[in-house]
Amino acid sequence: MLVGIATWAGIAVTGIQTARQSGEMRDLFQRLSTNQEVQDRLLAEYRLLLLEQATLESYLNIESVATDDLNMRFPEQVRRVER
Amino acid sequence: MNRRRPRRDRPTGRTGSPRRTKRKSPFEGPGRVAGASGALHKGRSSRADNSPADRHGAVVLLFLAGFVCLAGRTGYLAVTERDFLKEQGEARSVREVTIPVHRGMIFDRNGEPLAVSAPMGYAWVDPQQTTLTVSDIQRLANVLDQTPEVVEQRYRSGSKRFAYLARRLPPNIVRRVTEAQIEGVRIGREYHRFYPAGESTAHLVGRTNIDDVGQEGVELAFDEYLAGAPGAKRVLRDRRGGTVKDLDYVRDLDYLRAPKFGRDVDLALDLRLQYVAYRELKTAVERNRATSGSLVMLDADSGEVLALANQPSFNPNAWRSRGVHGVRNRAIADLYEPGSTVKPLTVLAALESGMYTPETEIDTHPGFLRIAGKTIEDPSNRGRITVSTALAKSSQVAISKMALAMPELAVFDAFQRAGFGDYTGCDLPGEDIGLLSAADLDKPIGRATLAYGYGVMVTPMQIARAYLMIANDGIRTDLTILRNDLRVRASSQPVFARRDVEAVGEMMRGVLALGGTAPKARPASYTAAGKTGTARKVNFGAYDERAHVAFFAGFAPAVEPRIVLVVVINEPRGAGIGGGAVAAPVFGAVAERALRILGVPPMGGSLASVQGRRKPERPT
Repeated sequence: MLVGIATWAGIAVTGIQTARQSGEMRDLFQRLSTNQEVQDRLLAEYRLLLLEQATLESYLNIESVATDDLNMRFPEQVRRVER
Repeated sequence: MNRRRPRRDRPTGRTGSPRRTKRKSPFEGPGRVAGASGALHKGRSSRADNSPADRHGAVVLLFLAGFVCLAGRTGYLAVTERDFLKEQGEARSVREVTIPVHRGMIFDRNGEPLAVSAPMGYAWVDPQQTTLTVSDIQRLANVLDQTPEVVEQRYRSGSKRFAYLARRLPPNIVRRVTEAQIEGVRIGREYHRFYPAGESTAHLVGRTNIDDVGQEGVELAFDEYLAGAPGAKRVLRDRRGGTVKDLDYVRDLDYLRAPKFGRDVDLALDLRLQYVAYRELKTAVERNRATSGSLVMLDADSGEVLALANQPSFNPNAWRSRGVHGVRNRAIADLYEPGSTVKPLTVLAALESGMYTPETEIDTHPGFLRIAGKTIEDPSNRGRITVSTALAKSSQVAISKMALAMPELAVFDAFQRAGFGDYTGCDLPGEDIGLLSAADLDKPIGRATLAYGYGVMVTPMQIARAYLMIANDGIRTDLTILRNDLRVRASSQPVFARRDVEAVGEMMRGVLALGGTAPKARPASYTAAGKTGTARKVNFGAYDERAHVAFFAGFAPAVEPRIVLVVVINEPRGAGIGGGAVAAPVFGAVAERALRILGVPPMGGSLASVQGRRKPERPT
């Protein structure tokens, strides 16, 4: 009799725990999905920023800014200074 | 009716046949007692059969039978209809979703991005569900910065269930479309390719089409590696459509479709050197009003392609609007007769034959040589000159005489060992192997012309590979566009004796000295060795006196070289047309800046020559 009760109690507790764990797993999965979405968004943003940085740093752009905006010119003479 | 029927047969003591048996029949009489007694006996037997216990047993039996039927049916379905039922169940809660992947990036050797995939939006409609009104189309055209006709044409030309209204939408336009809230217009996200270095790296990096598929250059050569492959997975969805659980990656014919993410490619290219090369080449092509030009720069030690530029070029970010003019990678696809740039190889063959040394004298008097009715001539009568001088002055007569004195196949064999008529190993799509034929070598004129670079067709990349072999003491190496490509070392093999190659390298320094054919090729602060070349072009089956190709190929510094450089200017129409006047200055300018960028210390005592260097011109 006691064994039977214990068995039924064990089954009931196990069932409850299984349900709880299942619910917890779903919550964790949703958090994982959300984090993955955030990761995707941040990666996309990183790529855009990388692209913007590379475009601004490109030699074509630097030379254009130097000559057109800053009015810089290549030196007429190249000298090496040694100290 | 059915519900009431059991009430009449209810097996209780109050109603039913047992009570009715106690009633006295009006026809009952004494003569019928026995019969009545039999009837009564019969009535008791019937009462025993219909007892509550029996009925209870019957009902239990019925229920049991029902359970057995149900269990049997369940078992039957579980065994015979398992797949069908599983499929139907999954169809209601399990969804297959695609795992998108985006294209890997391309970097230069210092980690500078050369090709980046960035997310862009696209606007689309389902024409079967959505009918765009004239007002909707007008509003869309306004937010998309397009004409209503274009929007309407796209709306009408789509398939039944899908029509693109616009693609490659930047985030600000996507926001405007979303804010416009036009019913049925939806926004999707896709990745598109951008090239920060623009046209300066266009030929090497290549381009993709609107669907992100490689079309040219590295983008095509490594398309599969860069692109990856989208995967798929099964997920459990709840009733609100949210994903509850990842079930598994979808198995397709027992093949796991896990996503293969696009991988990055690290090129050997150095963006700093590439820009210098591109800029100087563009300036030279414009200054000389040339048709086209190519420049290849290699790492003298590893065979890596440090820079590759062509003119005309194209902007890979805007090829859709400007067309594909200038897309051809001339450095690997255009064939030229290399002219005098092959003379170091001829001299190598001569030294190898044992018949010549650098000091051997050759009589070039009277400045021309007549073979089979054709005249080979020098610009002037140089008399008796050494082999070194013949190379420095680029004497056709001396080189022809050397070729004619050697065995028939000596020069041809030297060219072959230098890599002519073969792939360079750079793995770029569209590479031509050129033309190297022994067909005319039985004739003296065929051997003579081959020795100074006619009757053979090569690409600028092949010339660069041959000069790399000279810079590497006779070791031929496959070229590579990848950084740290282990295949290059494996492909290295000695093809000429080191002693002979060093002697030729020393002779090539004379080309850049005063009195040589290309003093303008000398970098201001470094030593260099090289050779000019000027070849006439073939037009309408004959050599055209007015169309030339100018070459300069060499390496710098002359001792322990760091770079190998080839410059080709096609059909220059300026004041000068020769390699020494047109291509050599580009070599000098690029080598000077490249060696500085690479941190090679300038030669001591060359400060005087540094003074007064020309001011670089800015390409328009």
